[in-house]
Amino acid sequence: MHELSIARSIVREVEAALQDRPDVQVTVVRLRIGRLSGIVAPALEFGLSFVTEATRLDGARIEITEEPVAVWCSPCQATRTTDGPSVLCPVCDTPSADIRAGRGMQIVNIDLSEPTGVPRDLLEVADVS
Amino acid sequence: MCRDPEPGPAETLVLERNVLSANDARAGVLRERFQTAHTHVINVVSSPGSGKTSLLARLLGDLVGSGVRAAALVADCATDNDAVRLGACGAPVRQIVTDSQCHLEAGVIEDHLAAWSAEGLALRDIDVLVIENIGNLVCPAGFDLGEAERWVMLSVTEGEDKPLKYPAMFAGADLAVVTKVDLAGPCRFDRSTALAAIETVNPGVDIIETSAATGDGCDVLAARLRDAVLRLTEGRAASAAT
Repeated sequence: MHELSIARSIVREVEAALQDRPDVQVTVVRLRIGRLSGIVAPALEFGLSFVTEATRLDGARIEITEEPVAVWCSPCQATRTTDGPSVLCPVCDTPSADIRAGRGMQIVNIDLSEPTGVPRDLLEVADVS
Repeated sequence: MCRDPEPGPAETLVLERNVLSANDARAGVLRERFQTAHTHVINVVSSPGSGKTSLLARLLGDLVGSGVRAAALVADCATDNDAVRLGACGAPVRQIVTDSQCHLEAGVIEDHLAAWSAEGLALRDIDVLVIENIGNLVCPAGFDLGEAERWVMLSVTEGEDKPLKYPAMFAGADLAVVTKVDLAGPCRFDRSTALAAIETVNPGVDIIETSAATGDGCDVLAARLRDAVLRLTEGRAASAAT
């Protein structure tokens, strides 16, 4: 259950990628989470809702795609996508130690909003009036 | 008052960045430091209560007794009880108290090596460094600590199907250690089912069956580490000769 620290890493990585873009806001974060990564999507979204506060990811929509597990099957001489977190070849049922996909956690891309030039807190004040 | 319609995305920025890239980079630096210092590092993971500390205390004692300069970093959410137990054999041991953190990261290892260094214990004075991770079969799986080997432990008091339930942890291990085999009878531990479960998620992985109480298998574990140290010592001699 370390989704909170993963969420912090995501914010750090995104902020690092935007260090030369001080005026943009992030509206969407697209993630690819491996089935064997040990990450639970709802817990990660919950963590992100906290750690994005007062960052440029505040309010951004989180889109998570699951990356299935793929293994190299030696008897079949083929890369096979397995069933769930299994490392068994779905064709011949042989277990494989050669995991080719499904362990990673990637930030695929992010959507950035138009720079408004107006600080957010001023916009909020205007909205209330 | 009308709200402005939500603006569409100005642009999509492709990142394709590994979330754990910062940890991976630090672990890579650590791995180079360990290789340069000829220190063999193992990262020991298991569920809580699998008997990591008891077994490692015995193992450290064996190593120290045979002249191997062993040391340990031991992590827990609270207390320094395990450091006290592991340090009984005289090996240098530091407790890492993680509070609520459920796994170790490479940066934490860097900090504790620096603290050791400030106390006068350099990495080159350690032949075997045992890192006892937090008892947790999920979270530590994704965090490389720069180790040469990852050991996963499974006690006979747990279910034989634990490797199937936590495949990421068992699939990533270099060695599976079955612990508390002296309790296999009372626990009605089905040995062949457990070994088959390990084999299913990590085909061909080395498996060593042990008991900290009777000492079964401890000599095999100690020999494995002594062999690793011997290989590193030969490497050190070779690099000194060039």
